[in-house]
Amino acid sequence: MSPSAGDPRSRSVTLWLVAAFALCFFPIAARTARPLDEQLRLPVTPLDRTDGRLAKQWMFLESCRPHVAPASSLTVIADDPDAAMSLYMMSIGAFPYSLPLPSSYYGLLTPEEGRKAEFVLAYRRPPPADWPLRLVANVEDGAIYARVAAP
Amino acid sequence: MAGATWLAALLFLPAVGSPLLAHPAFGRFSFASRAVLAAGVGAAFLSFAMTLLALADVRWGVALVATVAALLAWGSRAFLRGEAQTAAPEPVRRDTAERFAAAVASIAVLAALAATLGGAATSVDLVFFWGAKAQQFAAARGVDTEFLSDAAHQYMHPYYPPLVSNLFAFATMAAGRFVWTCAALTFPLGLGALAIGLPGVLRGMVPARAAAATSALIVATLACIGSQADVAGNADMPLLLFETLAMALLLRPDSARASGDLLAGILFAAAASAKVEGLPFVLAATALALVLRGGLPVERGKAALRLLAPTALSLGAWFAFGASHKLFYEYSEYGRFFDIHAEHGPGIAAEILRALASTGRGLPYLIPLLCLIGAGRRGRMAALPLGTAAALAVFIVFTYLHLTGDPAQWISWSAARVFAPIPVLFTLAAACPRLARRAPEPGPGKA
Repeated sequence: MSPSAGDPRSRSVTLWLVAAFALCFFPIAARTARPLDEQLRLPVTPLDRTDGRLAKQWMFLESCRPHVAPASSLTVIADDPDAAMSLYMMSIGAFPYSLPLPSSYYGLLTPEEGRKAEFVLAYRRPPPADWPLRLVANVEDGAIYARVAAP
Repeated sequence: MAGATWLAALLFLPAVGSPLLAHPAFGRFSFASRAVLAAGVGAAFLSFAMTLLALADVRWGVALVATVAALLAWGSRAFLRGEAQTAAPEPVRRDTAERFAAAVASIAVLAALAATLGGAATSVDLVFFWGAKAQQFAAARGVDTEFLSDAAHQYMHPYYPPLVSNLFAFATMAAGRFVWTCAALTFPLGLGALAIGLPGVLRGMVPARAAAATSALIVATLACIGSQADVAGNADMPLLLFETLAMALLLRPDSARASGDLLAGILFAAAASAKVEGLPFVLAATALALVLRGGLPVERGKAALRLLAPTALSLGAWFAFGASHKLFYEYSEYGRFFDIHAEHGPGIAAEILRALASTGRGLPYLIPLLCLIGAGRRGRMAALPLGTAAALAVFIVFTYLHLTGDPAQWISWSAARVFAPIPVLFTLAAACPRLARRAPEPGPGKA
């Protein structure tokens, strides 16, 4: 197609290219603003540099995974309702072969659901004293418990 | 190995869409543009095939889904009967500006890739629902109704259009497991596809160097917004890819023919199946395109059918699935449709401005706007992207007005992403030629 009158002129083209080049700076600057050793460190979780709080929670779920039997049910309890909700949501993806049950949902306590779980992943808090549990393993930021069958 | 297979499954999309794009009517596009357009068509048909199979209660398999999708792409050639072969674009030698534009677009894609690989652009929505849904669908070999109907999974938005869950599930079935990093890599992958395919599509509207500059500015804008607003692994990049290509197709002088409309219509279907806000985009763009083109009512009717039928079929199949399983009957809202809270209006406006200003210091929104202002008065076709941008902005604000409580937090994590198509539309409007683009009708005896 041949250029026609009124097409963006070459001055505009140059300005647009300068603008596009300037915009490339932002994703790069966001990276270079951090110390070099941190930049070179490979991320451990998908959220390492997006949301540090969620990255810690994801790491907790990852470290619990080897201790949870496949095809079992589990629940996550946490020290605050927001953490409990996000851990529950992430546990659905992090444990694709298990059945996560919520112990709280949007801040609403649902212990009757959590009580049914075979495994309890306790994030930064101990499990309720009246739940019949045995400690399976301690991990960073918490511990894993297994339900003890009633005698 | 699983990661490579997961990505390879998505790189297979051009092959799924190629039965349609191989039609001689699409010869007017460069090979690169044709491959990217075929990927968009492949994504639309793959998701549609998966939804149809789920509706028919047939278990998904990689070969089955790909075959059905490719057959649908082949079958859609029936709508191009009588369409003449078009000449391939003249080979052009890139000048300095075009080479610089290609370099800028490459830098933008590499910056997005680095941010994604560094875990600095991952969407929280990926780990909250996209990944979980895709894994579950792949394991169930279909849309898992038991999973979606569980009251504890209501936060998974069961009604949400299925394209991204379906594509991720397809890749998961191929790879044997869900690969979180690869899902996040769909952001630079989609951006790279846009960088490769868009210049060739725009070349039908403006000269090569303007097409290259427009494309570079759009890619850089989206790389900036995507990296800052954390879109890696969610549905925003696929939506932006489909919307941008469809709009660029509609702006070409040769768009008003069956092949152009059908292609734009299929990309519209992909957009509407990717995110809820894809539907208002499709409706606004179609209505404006039909008004701006003029022509006889019969011609407009046929064009409307080609532009809207793929979206109607795609969403129709999804809602038929939802209704037949008593899962959903409509898009869920944060209140009744006309139950709006006008008292939040000023707060919403301030919060939107704050969210946009905190994304790359507002420059990815401001620079395209300044380019549009600097470009001066454009031709009437510029009303197509500008009108669509206005309609989309109204829809987004209308949605925010539905929340009973303070929507500030919701806006803070969503506005930068959902407003991302608007600077793209500004740039496309700025690129529109000033003169009327419609070729003169041959007079009597001149045909």
